[in-house]
Amino acid sequence: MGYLAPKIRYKRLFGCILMTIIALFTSGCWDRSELEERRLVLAVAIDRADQGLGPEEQDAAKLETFVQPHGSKRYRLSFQIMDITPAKSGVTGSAKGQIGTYVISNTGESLFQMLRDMQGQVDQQLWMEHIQAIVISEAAAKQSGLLPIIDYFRRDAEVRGLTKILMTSGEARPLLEYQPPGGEPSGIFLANSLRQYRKNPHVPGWRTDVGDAARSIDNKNRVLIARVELVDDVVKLGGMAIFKKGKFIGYVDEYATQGGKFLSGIEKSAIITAQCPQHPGKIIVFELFRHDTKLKPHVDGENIYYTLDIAMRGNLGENQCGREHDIMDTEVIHKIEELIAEEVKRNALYSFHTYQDLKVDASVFGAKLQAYEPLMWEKVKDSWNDEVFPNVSLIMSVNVVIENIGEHK
Amino acid sequence: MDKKKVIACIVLICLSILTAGCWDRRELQERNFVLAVAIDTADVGKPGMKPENEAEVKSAETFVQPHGTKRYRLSLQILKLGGDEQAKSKTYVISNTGDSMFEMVRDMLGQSSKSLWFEHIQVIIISEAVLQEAGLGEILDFFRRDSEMRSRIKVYITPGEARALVEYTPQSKEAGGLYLSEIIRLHTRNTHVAGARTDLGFVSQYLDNNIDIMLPRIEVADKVVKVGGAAIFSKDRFVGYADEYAVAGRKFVAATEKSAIVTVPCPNHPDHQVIFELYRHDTRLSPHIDGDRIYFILDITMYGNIGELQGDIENDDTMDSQYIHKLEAAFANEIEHNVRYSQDVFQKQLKADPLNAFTKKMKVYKPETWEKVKDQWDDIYPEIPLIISVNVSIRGIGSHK
Repeated sequence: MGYLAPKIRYKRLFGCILMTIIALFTSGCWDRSELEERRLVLAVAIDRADQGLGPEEQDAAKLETFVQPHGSKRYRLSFQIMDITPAKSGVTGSAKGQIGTYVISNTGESLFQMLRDMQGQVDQQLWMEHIQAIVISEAAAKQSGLLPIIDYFRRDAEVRGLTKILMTSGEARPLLEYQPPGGEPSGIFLANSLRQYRKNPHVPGWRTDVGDAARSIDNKNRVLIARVELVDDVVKLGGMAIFKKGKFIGYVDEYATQGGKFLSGIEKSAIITAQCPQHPGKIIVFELFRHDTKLKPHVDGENIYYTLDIAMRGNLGENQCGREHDIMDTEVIHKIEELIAEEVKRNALYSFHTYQDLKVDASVFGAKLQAYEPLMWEKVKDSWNDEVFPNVSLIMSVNVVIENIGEHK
Repeated sequence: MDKKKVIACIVLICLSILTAGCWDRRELQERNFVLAVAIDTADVGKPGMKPENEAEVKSAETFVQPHGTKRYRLSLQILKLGGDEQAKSKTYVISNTGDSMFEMVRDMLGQSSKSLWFEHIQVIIISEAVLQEAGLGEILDFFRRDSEMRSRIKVYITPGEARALVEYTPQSKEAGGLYLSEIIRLHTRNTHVAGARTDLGFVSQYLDNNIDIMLPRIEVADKVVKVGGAAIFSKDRFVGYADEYAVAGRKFVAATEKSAIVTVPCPNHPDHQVIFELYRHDTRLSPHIDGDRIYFILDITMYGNIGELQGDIENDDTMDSQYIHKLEAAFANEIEHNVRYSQDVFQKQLKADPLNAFTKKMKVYKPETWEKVKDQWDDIYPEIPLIISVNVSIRGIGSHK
């Protein structure tokens, strides 16, 4: 190139550099791994190490585990893994790839160590980014609290904040082996089922995923986890488990879960039932469409009390008294409105007292105090759950408006 | 920027608002379509389940109830969308116990990964045991109020367990709910089925107007499902069943039959049967007042075919008009007998007037008398005589005869 004019020489050099740079950017992904080369984990179950091991499974459990330098065999970790079979080519019509799942397990203490050891049971890399649900058995949670169990899921970069956490009073692993009747893998089933919380006030579904649990733990707050049960081939979500300082302190039932939603104003729709005063044993049902809920803390000297104002609008959803009321009569409707308001009050107070008895503020009372009365909060925050919250009082006022009485009436 | 450009921008923005997609759309595969609903008493279990599991399943699938008792069992049949074609059934069933239907439905979302979609319910099946406990109005209340329900939902009554019917997989492998609702669509050709005016819209209307109701009866045994006969309600209270013969008679009175098969023994040789196929009819039911006496006249004229002749046509010649006249008289006689039989069942035994046949005629044609008797109508109705006159005309004797 020595005998070329300098201008042309620079141009060529510039061209070479440009091409090299372009080559750097346009080359493929060096660390790609194809979908079928990953083992996507859809759901995780955590049991106590000896749970669900009959005499036949003892040998398998011994084989699937590893020699552990520290700690004991404390937990049994199970993964539900997605088994992707690509669609067969050449088949016309609705040739679909099928999604199956299988479950592998391991026992140990550190979840991370177990997980890496389980790589010895699968041929491809385990991929945690698509975990849908984490199911914890009550026995495992009672053993040493919630924190050691979900620590790994909080730290690992692959686990997402929206992964749902569930708790079961029995064994967790059978929930991964469960085949939902609709055909989808049970991990997806559980996560989607929990997403129905807007319509179903019996599941918490609100702030019960990994991200929210992590935040609650960091703020030394209670953790709420949805409860799921599997019996025979029926899976049912309803009620929740409450953890305080990482310790499992108990379940609350569906009624208290619904009331808790009324306290925090997070329900979207709800079914509220009340007994008809004229016809004992018959039920009148209100369907909530929209509401305005205001929870306010008040400080009166040393005394803390709350006022809760709820205004609800909705439909008459069902009337089991049949034709015995004339619901075109506004007087009758007014009576039902009062009846429903009374019931909302009762329900909210039921869960309020449940929380007080458990000595845990499972709703937003502490947060409201912190926001509106920060000076008071500073004084009481250390003893909030144990001493102050169980003794605060709540003044409720509920207003219900029935806008409509149904479609075919 | 000139004015034109500004206008163009505004138009573009407006257009994009209008043409944007639907914000609350939900894809088909993200819904769980409910095809059939079964209402039982709470103690009904799942067919084929081990008894030792039953109590545990029952407590798992249900919820803590602030009011009422565990009174009903509500089972929903859900369509499986997609999935493999080899599957044994296109549907599956989830179930719950409680008192309020609405509360149970919403709680069942805890057993479902997708929202439950009620716009395509085909049938509601109610077991007799439930009807013994509560009136039809209170059982169906939720379905009458909720805006997702359609008026064309079919309502059936079963003497056994309703859940067994929604668990049933038809031999043809079609979805169970669709199968059950299609059966009754053929009621115009099958006089044994009380199919006319029995869907939710009519039931709703009848309940509001205090009219007696007739609902088709359905039964399942092993692999056989059968619709036939009817359950009769006085207002909304279940009073008993009427058999297929009575239902057919009622259809002749209310003129809800389109086609019918009428059988008589051959007038010449009573050991075999001759069958009349009804094509078209003119039915008139009219009230008459004679002093203090109320009576009804039923005038039926029927045109049709010889549908089947079981005997020997050498002996019974259908080309012989004498013989045909004999047959016409026999058929007319049989229809009168059928109507008498059904009057005995409905009017005398059950004391109900389903399909509103007599009551409505009174209201329309004799309003002044109706005003006088309407408060005692329930007592007067069972005693009202009916004068029947039937005329049958045979128009054809078959295609290849």
